[in-house]
Amino acid sequence: MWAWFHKLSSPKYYYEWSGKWLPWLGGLTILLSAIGLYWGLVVAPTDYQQGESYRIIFIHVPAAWMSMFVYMVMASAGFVALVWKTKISEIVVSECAVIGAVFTAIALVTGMLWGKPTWGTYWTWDARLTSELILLFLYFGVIAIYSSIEDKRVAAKAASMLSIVGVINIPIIHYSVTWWNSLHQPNMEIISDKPSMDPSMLYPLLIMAIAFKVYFVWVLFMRIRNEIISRERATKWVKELVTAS
Amino acid sequence: MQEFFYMDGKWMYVWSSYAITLIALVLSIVFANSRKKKLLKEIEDSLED
Amino acid sequence: MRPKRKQRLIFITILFLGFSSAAALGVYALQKNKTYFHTPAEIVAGNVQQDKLFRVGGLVVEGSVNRFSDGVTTEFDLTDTSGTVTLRYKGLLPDLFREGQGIVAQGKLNADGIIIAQEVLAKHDENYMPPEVADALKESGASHPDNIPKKNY
Repeated sequence: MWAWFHKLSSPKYYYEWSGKWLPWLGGLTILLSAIGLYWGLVVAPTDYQQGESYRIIFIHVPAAWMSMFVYMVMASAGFVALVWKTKISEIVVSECAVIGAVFTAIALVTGMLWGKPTWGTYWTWDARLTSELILLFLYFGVIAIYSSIEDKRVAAKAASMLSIVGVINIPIIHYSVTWWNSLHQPNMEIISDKPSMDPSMLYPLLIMAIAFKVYFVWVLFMRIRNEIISRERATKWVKELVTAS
Repeated sequence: MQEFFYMDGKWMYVWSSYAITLIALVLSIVFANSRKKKLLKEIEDSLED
Repeated sequence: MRPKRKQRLIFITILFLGFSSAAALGVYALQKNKTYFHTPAEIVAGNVQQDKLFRVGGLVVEGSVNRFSDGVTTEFDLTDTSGTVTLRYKGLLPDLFREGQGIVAQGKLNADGIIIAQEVLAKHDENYMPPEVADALKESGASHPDNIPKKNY
C-alpha cells in the first residue's frame, strides 16, 4: 500500500496511471448525470411545499457538498505537501482551489436562484450564506497566493498553509444552520430511520451527488496531468511523450 | 412537454440554475483539454529548435 | 525593492486583506442576526424602540391574513406562541408565504405598535416530499416537527 502511494507520488508514474482512468471517469460522469437529471427533473414528484422550484436542489446540494469536500481534499493535500513535500500533492492543492471555487460559485448562484422564488430574496446575510461566501474567498486567497509567488515550490507551501488555516470554516458552514438563527433550512438527515426527503427525491439527489464527485476526480486528474507536463517539460520522459504522440 | 419546461412558472429560476451549472462544468473540461493541447504543442515546438 | 521581498509583501497583503474581509463579513452577519433579531414576545414586552430597524421571526397566525383593497398591502399576525404582533407589508409576498408558515421580516415599529415591514422572507424546512405523502402524514396526525418555532422563529 505505502509502496504504491510512494510510486504514485512520482509525476511520471502518476501521469501514466491517471491516463488510463480518464475515459472511465468521463463516461461515468455523463452516464450518472444523465440518469440523475432525468430522474430529478422528469420522474421525481413535485414538493408539497415548494412545488417545482425545489428541483434546483439536485444541483445546489451536490455543488454545496462538493464545495466543502474539495476544500478538505485541498487541505489534506496541503498537509501532505508541507510534511512530505511531494510534488503531486503541491499540484493537488493549486488545482483543487480552482475546481473548489467553481463548485462554491455554483452553490452560491443556484442558491440565490432558489432563494428568490422560495424565500423572497436572492441574498440575505444569513450565517450559512455568509460562511459559504467566505469559503469562496478562501479559495480565491489560495489561488491568489499560488499565482503571485513565482517559485512554485514556495508558492505551494504558502497556499497549503492558508488552506489548512481555512479548514476552521468547514464546521462553521456545516453547523451554521444549527448555531445561528438562519433563514436557510437545517441540514437534511439522510442516514436515519426518517430521512428528511422522500425516497423518490432522495435517490436522484444521491445519484447527482455521486456524479459530481466523479466529475471532480475527472477534472482534477486532467488538471494535474497538465500541471505535471508544464512543470516537467524539461525532463526526458515528457520529451519522449511528446515525440511519441 | 410544455408543462415540463414551464415548471409551474418557475422556469426562469430552475432552467437558469441548470444552465449556469452545465456551462461552468463543461467549460472546465474544455479549458483543461485545450490547455493540454497548447502545452503539448509548445513542448513539441521547443524540441524542433 | 528586491523581487523576493516584493513577493513576500504581496503575499502578506493578500493574506491580511483576505482574513480581515472574512472577519468583517462574519462580524457583520452575526451583528445583524443577533442584535437586530427580536421575537414577537420581546416586542409585546416593549423591548423594542420605535423607528429602529429590526428583524422579527415567527409563524403567520391562521386566519389573520388581511389583504387591503389597494391590492399590494397585506396585514397579518405573527406569533412565537408566547406573544403575537401585527405586521403590515406593502409589496409582493414570497410564494411560500401562507398561514402557519414560518417567516422572517425586517421593519420598524410604528406609533400604534404595528410593525411596518420592509422585507418579508419565508423560511422553509429541510423536509421534501410529494403532496400525497404530506397529506397522508397530516391525516395520520403526525405534527410537522419543524413547524414548531425555535426560540427566534
